[in-house]
Amino acid sequence: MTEPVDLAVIGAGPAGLAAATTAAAHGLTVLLLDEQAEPGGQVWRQAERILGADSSGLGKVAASYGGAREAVAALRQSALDYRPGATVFDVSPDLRLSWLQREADGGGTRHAIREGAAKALILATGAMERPLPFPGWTLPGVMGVGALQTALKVGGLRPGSEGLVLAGQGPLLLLYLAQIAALGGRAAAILDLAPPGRMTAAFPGLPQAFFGDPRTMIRGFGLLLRRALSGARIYRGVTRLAALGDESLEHLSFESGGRRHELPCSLLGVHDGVIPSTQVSRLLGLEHRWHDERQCFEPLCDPDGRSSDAWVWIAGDGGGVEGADLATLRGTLAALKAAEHLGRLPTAESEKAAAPLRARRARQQRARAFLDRLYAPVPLENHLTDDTPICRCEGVTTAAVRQAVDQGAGGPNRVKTFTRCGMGPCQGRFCGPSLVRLIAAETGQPPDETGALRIRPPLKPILLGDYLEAEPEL
Amino acid sequence: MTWFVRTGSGEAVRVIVDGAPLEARAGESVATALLAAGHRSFARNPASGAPNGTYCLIGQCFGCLCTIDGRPQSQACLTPVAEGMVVETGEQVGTGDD
Ligand code: FES
Repeated sequence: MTEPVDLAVIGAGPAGLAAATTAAAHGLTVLLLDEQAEPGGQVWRQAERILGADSSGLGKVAASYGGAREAVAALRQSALDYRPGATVFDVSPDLRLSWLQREADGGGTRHAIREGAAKALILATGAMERPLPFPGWTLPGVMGVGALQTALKVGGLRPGSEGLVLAGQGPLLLLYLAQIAALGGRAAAILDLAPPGRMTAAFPGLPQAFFGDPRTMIRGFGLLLRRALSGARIYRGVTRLAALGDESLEHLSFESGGRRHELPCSLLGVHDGVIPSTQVSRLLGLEHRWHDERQCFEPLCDPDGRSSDAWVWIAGDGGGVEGADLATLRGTLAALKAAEHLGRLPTAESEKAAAPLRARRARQQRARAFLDRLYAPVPLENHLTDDTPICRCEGVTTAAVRQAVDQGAGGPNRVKTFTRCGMGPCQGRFCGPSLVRLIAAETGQPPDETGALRIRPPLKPILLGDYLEAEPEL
Repeated sequence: MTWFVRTGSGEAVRVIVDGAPLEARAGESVATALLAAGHRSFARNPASGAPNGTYCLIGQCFGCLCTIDGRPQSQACLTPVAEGMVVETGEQVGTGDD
């Protein structure tokens, strides 16, 4: 078996890049595993290509890549062991990692199971869009706004002609709208799913938010202005959204202003903010806490990102969504503390470097608190019907989940046994978050009591053939 | 209605989709290459029989599963295109601009 590296980092987005390069700069041996083929994570997706792109074309998207150039350059100059195309499918409590390694092999692609071990671990697995189930959300043509943005960054795809409608709320939706506008695209309509009164509720926090993070706030208001000027028809306070079509999306139906509306639509982008990806932190059995305002579980961490396991840190949005700017800072902070814990950086030095980072983070979090309130999650009951599938993989409906709860399934794992909700290939990534909220609504129990879906290895389905070809590292 | 249009530019990469050649762009995923070509769904859901939707494009929803270079159940959104790559979809939905 190989000697364990000092530090393994999972995820090469802003947090993971900062963590890995900071740790390597302090002399730690670092293994950086990332599922993508290129560094940057989701927010800096294809960073090297986008930053190198023509400023009249996709280069226009580069405006949201602040910090990416430096982060990727640091990676390329570092001697750390960076493995793109690595899908981590198991991490044991003693920090042995197993992953499926995808590599180019002549004209084709080869997959091999690899293993490694580490003394300390930083999880920088980022976030995913909060699932927002409504009738028809499984139809082809209904996609997350984050997915549409990924298609833009990865393949230069922007929606054609008049078919696009955006539904939801939050900064990412506004950013995407501005990005496609810069490339000659537009949305025909925007369905604002925020219940009325949100701005009034969030307003008292506005001065603090501006004081804490003026750049983010000014950027945000700029995007709101661009939405107003985008030419898209805006429907407010939308409820009872449904996507309709035979084999793929053809039209939408919804209520707004006390009336029912129908719109032709071939592509719908849905967005209700982002939540931490907790597959690995759950697999490791780390403690999590329900965040009531954000309506999601977050791993319990100290201000430096250290989890309930003394050798595991969580950096970036995976430890609670705070955005890309702070992800870089949180990655650096976690790496400093890991280096200290490994006895490679004197406490006095790590504290000296950490103190200003903590202070900046606390200041910028004030803007986050404002955004949390302004974009509080869309209530599930605004759109759910009895036959809406909660679980995309297995088609388990709201009614089936409610029935299971009525019959005594008091938590997600019992509901899973009763209904198969969470048993499909996505392993609960898409149904888990809604399931927890639904059970809380039905039982009146706080999610901290009812718990979350148990996560078991493999985190992603592995084929038998992969095991047969397994080549553990020597 | 046109589904997606391409912007920007990039090096061309040829892949084979269900036996037919398809020009993709270097660095993109199999999923975006298929979406660009008008494939709305890459397979049917075994539980419901309904067409899958590519909801997330970041490897979370498993709505993009297809067979890539003979490997079944591959996540098309996580697989970069490569010259000569062979992709097999299940029953297709809405192929081409309609
Ligand atoms: S589209 Fe969601 S996993 Fe590929």
